[in-house]
Amino acid sequence: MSRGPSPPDSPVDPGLARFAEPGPPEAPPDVEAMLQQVQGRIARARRSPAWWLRSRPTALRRAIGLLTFAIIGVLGIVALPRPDMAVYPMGRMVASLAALGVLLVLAIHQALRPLHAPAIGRAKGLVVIALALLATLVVTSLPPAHAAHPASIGGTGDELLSRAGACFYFGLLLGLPVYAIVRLLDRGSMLSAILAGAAAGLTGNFALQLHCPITATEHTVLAHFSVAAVFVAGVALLTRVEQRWKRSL
Amino acid sequence: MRAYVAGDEAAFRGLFERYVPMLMRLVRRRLDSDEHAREVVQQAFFQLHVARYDFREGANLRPWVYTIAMNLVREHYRKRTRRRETALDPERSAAPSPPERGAIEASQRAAQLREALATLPASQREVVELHWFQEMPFAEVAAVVGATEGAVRVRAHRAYKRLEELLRVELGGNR
Repeated sequence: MSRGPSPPDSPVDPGLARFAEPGPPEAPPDVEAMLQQVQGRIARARRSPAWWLRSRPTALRRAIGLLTFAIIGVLGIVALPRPDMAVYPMGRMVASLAALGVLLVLAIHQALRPLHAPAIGRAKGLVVIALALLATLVVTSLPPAHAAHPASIGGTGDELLSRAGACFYFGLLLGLPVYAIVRLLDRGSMLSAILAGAAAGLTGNFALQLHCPITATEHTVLAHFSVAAVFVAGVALLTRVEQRWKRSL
Repeated sequence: MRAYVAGDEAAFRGLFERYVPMLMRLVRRRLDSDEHAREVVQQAFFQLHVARYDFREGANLRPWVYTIAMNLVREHYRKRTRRRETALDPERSAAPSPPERGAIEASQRAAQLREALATLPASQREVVELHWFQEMPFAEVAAVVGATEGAVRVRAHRAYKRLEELLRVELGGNR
């Protein structure tokens, strides 16, 4: 492919150009009235608690979103570590955390796109969300990593629902700050909301991977993967309901 | 823009007065009513204000503003479920008073062009609107639509070819 200077832009065919000749003059826009409306909208938006966050530069917004996730990750490692960490296969732990972490960074990156960049195509956004769910499903449905620690055995049979419930709420709780922060930073679009949900689900799973010692697959799928699924499905549903309600007004 | 980012509120008025007519022309072609076009342009300037600290000194503002407006137009269609551009607003298609033959013919040609544009895929229509009606060079069009310059040129070529085919009857009678 040629790397020389671009050829000059081709002029439009004169025959075709005739179709763009101005028709009857259109009424000029009332610039002053429009400006006052915009200024009014800005003044109202400034009263919102999220205004300062949303108007920060995009690089800073993304950094705040990632910092929130990082704090939760550090909490998981330092304050609430899984008791079987010493016997857990390190390669698998690193690979799982890396997969979740990379997709989380991608989800936050896409959710907090700058307004002056062309909007992410719907398909691309859905691919990121699908990958987030798929990665979580893969990580949680792998065969048990080990059975070498007493805390890792259990969480199945009669204990399945009770132990799964505890982990599920734990994952939701730790994912919520990321969701809330990303939504406050987000400049507003339906896809950004669902991407924030995906980021929250990934955060919840990241934290559970560092905290929960139970290795039984039925537990990790029911309790851990469901955190991501519920975040994404829940936000998608809420967003749809909100849009329908707004249209009905 | 630099003055505005630095906090000069009067600079916002200057930007507004400069870009509103251009954006209104662009957005009016894409939407089915002047009211929706005004809403989109106003929202574009609101978003310009929200995003002002993202503006890099020395950057070209025009593709910035146009991209924000085009994003809003696409979102407008997505929210209202995709529909083709409707026929001309009856008020806009009315002959000027007193009626002049030249103005009526120009209005009819514009209506034919609008109908032909409505048959193009959205990606080609956007390129035509920016390159032809807004007279933007391909490099700027590429920045606005988020594609490479080569891809934009291909879309433009296909779009113009299709428009010529659709409007061939009128073109052939006047060559």
